[in-house]
Amino acid sequence: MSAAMDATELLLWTVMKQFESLAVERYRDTAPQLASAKKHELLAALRLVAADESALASTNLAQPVKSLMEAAHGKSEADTLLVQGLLLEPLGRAIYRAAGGAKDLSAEGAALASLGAAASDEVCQAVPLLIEASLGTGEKLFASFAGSTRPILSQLDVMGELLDAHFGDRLQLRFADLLGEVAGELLPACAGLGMNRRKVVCHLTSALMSAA
Amino acid sequence: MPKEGAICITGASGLVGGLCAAALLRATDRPLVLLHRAQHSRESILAPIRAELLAQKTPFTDEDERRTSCLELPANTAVADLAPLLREAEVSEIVHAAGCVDYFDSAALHEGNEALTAALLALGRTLKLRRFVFLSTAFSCGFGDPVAGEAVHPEPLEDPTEYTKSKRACEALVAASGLPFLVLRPSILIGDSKDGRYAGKTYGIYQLWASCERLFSDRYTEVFHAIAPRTAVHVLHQDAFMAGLVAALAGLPDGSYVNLVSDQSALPTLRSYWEMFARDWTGPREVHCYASADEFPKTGVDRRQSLLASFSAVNLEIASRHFHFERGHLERLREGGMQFADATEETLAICQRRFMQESLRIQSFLVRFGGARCKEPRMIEAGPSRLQSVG
Repeated sequence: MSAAMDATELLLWTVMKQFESLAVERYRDTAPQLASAKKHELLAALRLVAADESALASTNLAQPVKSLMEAAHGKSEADTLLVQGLLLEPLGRAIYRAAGGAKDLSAEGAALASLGAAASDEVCQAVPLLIEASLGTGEKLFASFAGSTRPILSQLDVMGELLDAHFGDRLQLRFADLLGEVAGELLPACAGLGMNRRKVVCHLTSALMSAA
Repeated sequence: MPKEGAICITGASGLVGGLCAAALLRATDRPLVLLHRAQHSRESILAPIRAELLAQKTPFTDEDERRTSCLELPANTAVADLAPLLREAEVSEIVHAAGCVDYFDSAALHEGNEALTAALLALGRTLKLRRFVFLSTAFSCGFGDPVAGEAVHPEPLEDPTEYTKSKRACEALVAASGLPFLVLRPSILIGDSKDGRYAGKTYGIYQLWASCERLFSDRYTEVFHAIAPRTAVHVLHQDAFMAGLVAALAGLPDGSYVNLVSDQSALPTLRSYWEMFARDWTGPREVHCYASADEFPKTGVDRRQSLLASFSAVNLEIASRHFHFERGHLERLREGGMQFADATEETLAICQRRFMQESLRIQSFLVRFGGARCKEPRMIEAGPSRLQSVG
């Protein structure tokens, strides 16, 4: 028998609803191929579970989530593909996968985690091809990637400790593990797009591992 | 006004420039003009200088306050406009410690290093400076020559990063400027040799510690896999840096290039870094040591350790190369009475202890997992190098 959804789970899905809303909006406006049926289905399901923002509003995650959303709000095609598609989508997938493996997840939560991972899988596969076709590859692409993602990475870094505090014990979601997953996906993806791996590593390191 | 005139320091809001200011406040009685970018204020620049002097038990005084003025550094194209103000302040020397430290952003490096240095040299010619002191890096030699001399570097076979190339280009600009000059080349700055205090950003070894703090504080790790060759890590204590700066300014002739580095024979190695990390901090049962990043296992190592290996790869790649720096100037200055604290395993351990003491995460780790920590972790040779040596 599955557990009922508790406050921690509801908080997670409320946060994910915000990010998925932004992602679908950005995809719809600038990269419609990525606003897939699965993404729409996921967003609708998240909106059903997290009907309002109350679960988030009263927590110390509210402000950093808002700041991250603002930092990720670039409206150009390049911002959408590089920030939403290349960086945040693998992060979302890592979150869905990790949450999906948590014990005592509610039935609704398990369904959301499974749908979220599948929707992100599709986008993650499509993104590199779209980037290559629209933005090119190599050094110039790295400059765009570094410029677009630096503020997002800094905001993510700020959220790390709070994520651990809220979701670490209950959902086994830990920032260090998520980073490992994302970097594991991102580095080969960037190298595949002709970016210098050393430069990508230095960019990620200075953004994610520098603040005390 | 002392007869030598005032000293203008660039980059005083950063670690290197701030240490220069603190050292020169105590070693001279000359006024200091600190050039800073618009985002900094007099208070934000002076705060770490005050803290450093307080830690040295020579607190910042009202006289220091009067001796120190701050001026906004304009865009490179407008640096020449500073001439009337610096002339009025009777500036006779510029200590140029500002710069861009990005590893790869060529445009930012050009603007923050070559273009700024060229503008300051032009300003120096206008002011007819007595001397232009340039803070470079020990690694401006690049990879290639077996010994990095205390002279103009030849073009190396390869550069560790775009940064080292950019600093070498700046050295060339300084040498060709027609101004009397001194080039100081510090290696990787770390905290004070006696108490480990450090007010800089998380660069170099601090980035490695910060990464370990992030990745390994919420659980006990029984087995570590580490890129840990027995090559010297060229670190330099901040107190040694200040002593070297003061002695070089007072005692070396114009046109000198100084490799401001610790004695190589006593330096900690990457292996000793991991030994103290294991012994004093994380306490794993075993550390599997690989000779290079290439030998680090691609599979079978947990995500966090792979991430650490990836994130530290560039710095470790540089650190694992054999650099040998000529140290003639430092030896002569030492014979003349300079007190210079060479970095050793013991002094690096002091810095690590300070880092640990100031980290809530690490303190929490020590409380939670203190009982599980192994007191004598085994350091195990691993990877293809070991197999070859066994075979």
